[in-house]
Amino acid sequence: MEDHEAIQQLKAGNLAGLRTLVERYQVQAVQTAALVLQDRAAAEDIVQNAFLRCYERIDQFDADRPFRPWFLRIVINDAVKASVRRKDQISLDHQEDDLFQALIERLESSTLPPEEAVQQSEIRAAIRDALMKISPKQRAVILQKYFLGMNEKEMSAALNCAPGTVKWHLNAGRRKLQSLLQKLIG
Amino acid sequence: MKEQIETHWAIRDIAEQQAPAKTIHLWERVERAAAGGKEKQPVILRRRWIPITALCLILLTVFSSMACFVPPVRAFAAEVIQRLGIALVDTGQFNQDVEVVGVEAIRVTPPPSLSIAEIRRQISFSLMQPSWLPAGLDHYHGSIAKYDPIENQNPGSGTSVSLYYYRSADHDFLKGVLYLRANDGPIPAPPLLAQTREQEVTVNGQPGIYVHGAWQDDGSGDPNLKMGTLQWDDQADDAYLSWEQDGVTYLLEAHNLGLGLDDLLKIAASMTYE
Repeated sequence: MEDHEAIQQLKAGNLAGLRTLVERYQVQAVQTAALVLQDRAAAEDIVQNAFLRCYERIDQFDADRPFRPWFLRIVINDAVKASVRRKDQISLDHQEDDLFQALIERLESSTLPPEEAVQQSEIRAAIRDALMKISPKQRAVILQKYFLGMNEKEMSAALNCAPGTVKWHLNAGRRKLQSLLQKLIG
Repeated sequence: MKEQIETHWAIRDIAEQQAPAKTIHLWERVERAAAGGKEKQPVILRRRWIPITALCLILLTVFSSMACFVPPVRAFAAEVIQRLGIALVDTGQFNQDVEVVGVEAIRVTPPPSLSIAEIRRQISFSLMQPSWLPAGLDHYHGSIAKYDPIENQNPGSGTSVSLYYYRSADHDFLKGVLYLRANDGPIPAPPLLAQTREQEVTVNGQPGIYVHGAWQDDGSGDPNLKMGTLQWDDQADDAYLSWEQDGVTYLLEAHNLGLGLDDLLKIAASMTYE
C-alpha cells in the first residue's frame, strides 16, 4: 500500500492506514529521535506521540504532498525541543559551531567505510562523541543530511529556517576547523 | 535509492546500535492510544506537565489558604470583589453556624397602635382616611415610621403612615387585611409588582395604577441556596391601588379579602380628611 492510499484510509477512519505508516516509518523515526535525544525510551514516546498527532490531524494533511518529510519534521522538531528542555548537550561555549563544522568535514571525508574494522570503530566513536557535543538543532541538521538523506529544501522546511542557513551550515564546515574532531579521535 | 546513497554508514551504525530496527515495534502502543485506550502519556509530556501542574496547585493552595485564614488577605479579597459590584454570600457558612433548637414561635410585637387623630398630630401633611370599608374589617391598627429621606432619596418629610384594617382580632395577615400607606412623597420601599399587569386608572379624579395578583415561587429552588422561579399569578388574592392626591401618595393594598378594582376604588372614593 502506497503512502497516499494509507492516508486516504486513515482519513476515512480506517486504522489499517495508520498501521501501514507506523510500520513503514517507525524505525527511521525512532532511530532519528534516539540519535537526537540519546534516549531510546524517550525517542519511542516522541514517535508514538507524533503518530497520534498525525492520526488526529490527518484531515489537515494534503494527500498530494509526501508524507515522509512531513512526519519526520514533526519527529525532529519534537526531539530537538525535548533535548533542549533536558539540556542534553554539553556546553562548550562557542566551540559547538567549530565541532559542528569539523564533524561535517569528517562525515564528508568518510562517505565510504575504511576496510579496517579498527578504523571504522574509531571513526564511529568520534562521530558519536561529536554528535553529543553539538547543539540539538545542529544535530538535527546532521541527521537529516547524513541519516535521513534529506535535500536542503526538505531540511530547511523541517527546521523552519531558510535554505541558505542550512547550506551555510553544511558548506562552511568544509573550510573550518577539523582539529577538534582530530583531538577527539586522539 | 537516493536516500540510501546520501546516508552515512557511521551514523547508520550508531543509530542501529542505539535503537536496533528489529526491536522497534510501536504499532500496538499507537493502536491502543489511537483507539482511545488508556495508553500512558509519553514520558516527555509527563515530565513537562508535572512541574507546571504542581506549581499551579501549590499557588492555588497558598492563595486559597491565605484568603480563608489570613484576615487582611481575606478583607483585601472581599474589597476587590465589592469593587466589582459583587456581594457574595456563603450560605453554606450560615448553615454551619446555625444551631437548630426547639423553641416556641415568637411573634414580633407590633408598635402600639395610634389613633388617626394621634397620627395626624405627629405628621406634617394632611392625611385622609376611608369612611367606608368592606364588612368585617373591624380590627384597626395605625402606626407611623420614620425614615431618612436623604438616604432614601425621598423628598418627603421622612414620616410614613401605615393603617391596617384586619378581619381577625389576632391581626392575622392570612385571614385578610386592608393596608393603607400614605406618605408626602413616593412610598418608601414599595412592593415590586409585575409591570405588565399595571392598569392605568382614575382615582378620585387623579391618575392611578391598579395591579391584581402576586408573585408565586414554583418551588424549584433550594430553600438554603436559591429562590425558585417566580411567576406572576393573576389569580392570587392580592390587589394594589396607588395614586397621589393633594401632594400625598396613597397605596391601598388588599390581601386575602377577595377585593378587586371596584372595591378599592370605592374605598378610595370614601376617603376624607374628617
